[in-house]
Amino acid sequence: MDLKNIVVKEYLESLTEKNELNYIFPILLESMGYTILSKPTEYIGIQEYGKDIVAIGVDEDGIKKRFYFELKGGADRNISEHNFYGKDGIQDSLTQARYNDFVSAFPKFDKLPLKIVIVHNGTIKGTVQSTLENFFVKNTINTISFDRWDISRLTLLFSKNLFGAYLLTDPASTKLFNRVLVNLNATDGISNDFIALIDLIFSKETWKKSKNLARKWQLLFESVRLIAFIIYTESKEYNNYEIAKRYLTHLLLKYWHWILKNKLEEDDIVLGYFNQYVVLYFKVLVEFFGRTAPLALLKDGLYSENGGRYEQIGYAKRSFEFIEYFTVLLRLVHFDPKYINHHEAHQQIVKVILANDVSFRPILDIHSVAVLNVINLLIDCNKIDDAKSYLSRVLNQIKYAKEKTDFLPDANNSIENVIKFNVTGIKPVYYSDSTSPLLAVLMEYIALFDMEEEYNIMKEFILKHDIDLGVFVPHHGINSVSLDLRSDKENDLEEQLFSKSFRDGYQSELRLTKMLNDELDFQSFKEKLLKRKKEFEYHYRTDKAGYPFLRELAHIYFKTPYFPDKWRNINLECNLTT
Amino acid sequence: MGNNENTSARKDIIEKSKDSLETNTLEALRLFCTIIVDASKEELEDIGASIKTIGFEDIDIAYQKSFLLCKIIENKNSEKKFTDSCFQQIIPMLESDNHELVDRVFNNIQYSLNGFEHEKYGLLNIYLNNTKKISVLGDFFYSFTDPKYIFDVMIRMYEVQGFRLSIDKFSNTVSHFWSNDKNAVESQMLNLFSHEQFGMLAVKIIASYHNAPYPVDLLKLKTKEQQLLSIECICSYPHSFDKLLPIVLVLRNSSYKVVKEYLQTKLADLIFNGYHRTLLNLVEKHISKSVGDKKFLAPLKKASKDYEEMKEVKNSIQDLNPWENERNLIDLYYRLEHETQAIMMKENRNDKSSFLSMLKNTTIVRGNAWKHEDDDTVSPLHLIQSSIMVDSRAYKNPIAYEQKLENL
Repeated sequence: MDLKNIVVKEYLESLTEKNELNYIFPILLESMGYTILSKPTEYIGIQEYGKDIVAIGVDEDGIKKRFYFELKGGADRNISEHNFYGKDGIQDSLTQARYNDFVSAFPKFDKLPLKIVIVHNGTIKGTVQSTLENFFVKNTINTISFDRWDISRLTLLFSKNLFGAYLLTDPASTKLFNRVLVNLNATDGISNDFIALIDLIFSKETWKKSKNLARKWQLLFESVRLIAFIIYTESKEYNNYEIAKRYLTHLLLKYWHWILKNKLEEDDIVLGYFNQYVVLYFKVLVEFFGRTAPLALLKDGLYSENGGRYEQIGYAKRSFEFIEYFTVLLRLVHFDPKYINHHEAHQQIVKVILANDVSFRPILDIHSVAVLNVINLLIDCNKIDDAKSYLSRVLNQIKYAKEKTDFLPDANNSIENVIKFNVTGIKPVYYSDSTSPLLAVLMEYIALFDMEEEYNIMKEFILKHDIDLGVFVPHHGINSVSLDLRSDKENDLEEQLFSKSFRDGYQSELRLTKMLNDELDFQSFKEKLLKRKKEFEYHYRTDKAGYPFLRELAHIYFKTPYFPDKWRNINLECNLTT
Repeated sequence: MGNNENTSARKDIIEKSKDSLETNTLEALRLFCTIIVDASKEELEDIGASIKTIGFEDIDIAYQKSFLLCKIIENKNSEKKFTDSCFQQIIPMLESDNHELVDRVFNNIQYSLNGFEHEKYGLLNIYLNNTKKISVLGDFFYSFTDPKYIFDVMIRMYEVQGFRLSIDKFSNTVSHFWSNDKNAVESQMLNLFSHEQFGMLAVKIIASYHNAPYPVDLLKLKTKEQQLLSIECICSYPHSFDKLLPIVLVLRNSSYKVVKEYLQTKLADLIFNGYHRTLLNLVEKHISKSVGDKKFLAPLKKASKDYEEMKEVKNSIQDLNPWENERNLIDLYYRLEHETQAIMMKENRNDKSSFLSMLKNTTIVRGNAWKHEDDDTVSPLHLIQSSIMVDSRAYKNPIAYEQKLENL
């Protein structure tokens, strides 16, 4: 049984929306060596009959030709009398394409023979088929010919040139890919099959620098985009964009890791392909939040009406995860210099937080990422009072929960541990709450905002409950005195950050006492932090390449707490200079 | 024997006892006890004066002396001033460092002194200050006739512990008072709604009756502020709202328009955010079909409809559905919950005080019915379950919810 062809055919048949075919078909053409001059998305609002895609390529007869592709997907993917005749029908489109030229600066474009191809991921009804073939025969002259690529033809082309060329080259990867698709909604996170498949794809070839990008690398990049697109369309089938979000985030970070690992972050050609992926990822993120943000803005919108008592954990977990990604997107959208809109970013995040008041109650230490994202976003929107107010409420909730229920967010970041503690009332062995990196960071923000009253309240609370404060610092800083202690010397900071939960560093103690037992006053605390400002500084390759948001995604995805440069470089006029 | 003879005999005993008070104190105290019931005012005062200087380091002497004092106090011939001095003699015994001694003395106050509720309550406070043994509160008030003291205790404890205070230990006594004098207890309960900070305590007490809450009549609350507070507190109570509902629903007939409207607003809020359709059904069950009640119901129906629409919107996508995206965690949560409940059931079976310990435990591994060896009939397995209505806001954000309750 040719599993590959079955998988490909089923997939192509599942593309039931016109724009899905529009997206995937150019990938096929590029993998076949065509030069694409225009894509469907470039024609929004402009009628270009029969020219959804204009490309240059070598035809089966070995002659270089210009191609006009007319795509019929979605409801039109099966050709019948219904969509063949009449205005805007296929016959009409072909005629328009035949007589209306496409203008291009491509060398000798007008001189090349023309081939008009109707592409549809379905079948054609027998009676219409003969009519269409008659039309082709009658209109074919020396320099103009016609063709039709249906589901069978597309299956062969996709199998041979794209899936078969890189993605599904052997039974192992074909099986993996098939299992990924079958089990796409069966696991909470990312399936092991998907992780294995992506690792397999990126490790199949060793990068070698060459003048022109070798075809195998083009195919690799196209394959990655194809996988992402397939997962995206499958997620749509499940009416669950969360699947696409998590799988595509994994792929994005793996992709960037591969680029960093091969020192390609300044290679324009590779970045060109990577950008295509980023655009797709961004589209998925926008669509995900386009669906979910209106719900999140409702009172308790992120609460599930069907979750039952589990929601005392699930609601908070979901809300923090939502905020983590949402803040990243708000930055990407509203801090883009071209479309800058701080007011909108501020309004959106404040509304989500207020509608879902569990956003003030972190249950895992790593929820520091969401908390910091919110505070930093509010600072950058110049809403310092809101940032302080949010910080105060988070501190209040942490303190109250500890005092009333002996609950402090788990420093081991295990949601399972939190559930066990919550349900049984017994802290699991691996539940860690004697040390709190989260509180350590929040205490530094207290100093940043010059909140002396909160400092004194929290100091008393922390000392009373004997909570150790410690901030995680990587060994890799510019001024590091612990470089020798790195346990992974093969991968630099970012190569580790983009491939796993980063642990190659030390825990920097933050004491609220001096001379053993004397309490540290606020002024001394601020002075102590000033001295630590240079404890960790780093020049990120990712930032230099123009993708700082990728670092945020890596911290979120791999549950790595932010490094101190995330907050120690913030400069507010009213603090730390005293 | 005639009266004169009795009097003479008592005098002999009193004198004899007084003589041996130094040498055989315990026996002397016991002898006093034998004649105390019939003693005259003068005799009582004579005895009271003679035992005043008796030390109470010995536990038995302290016990006997305190018993004697209780009996002197109880005697109808004792005058107020005199009984006060007897109470003054008891106080140092309750303040002793020897807690065993204190317990014995307190035992007398609890079980051997009828009436004098005000003074007994004062002694209780001295006892508690010294020993901190609040377990005595469980049945201390059982012999009281006025419920105000037990309410005072609950108020004072509530001031310290807030909403987390458990009033289980008082529930039997409150119930006992209720069966003796409903009006007095109802008045105490309603009086709590005069103070903002004790409104939730009132609801706790009202809800603490065995199967249904105490059927207090909230229309007896005179001011609109009291009525509004009762609505606020009952609607914020985290569980058993189905049982409290009939009590609060009477306020739809309040003479204050603002009270009626507030009740509508709160119930609509609860329907939308807490109990949904279930609550609407219950309200419909408890009110009439009159025009006024139909009007009252309208915003509640709207809230239910709004909730269903909101739910539908949420369910229209799977992106935030935990059953799709957090399945493993949900399974873990309910599996652990199930296990925890099973452990509790097992502990209950072993606990001889639980009714479950009386049942023979047989597991039906397959099938939906069972047959006893001695009986030909096949008995279906009935679903035995108890449930209480819990406000879903309690698990939306437990910490914030509790903070809100405490701040009420």
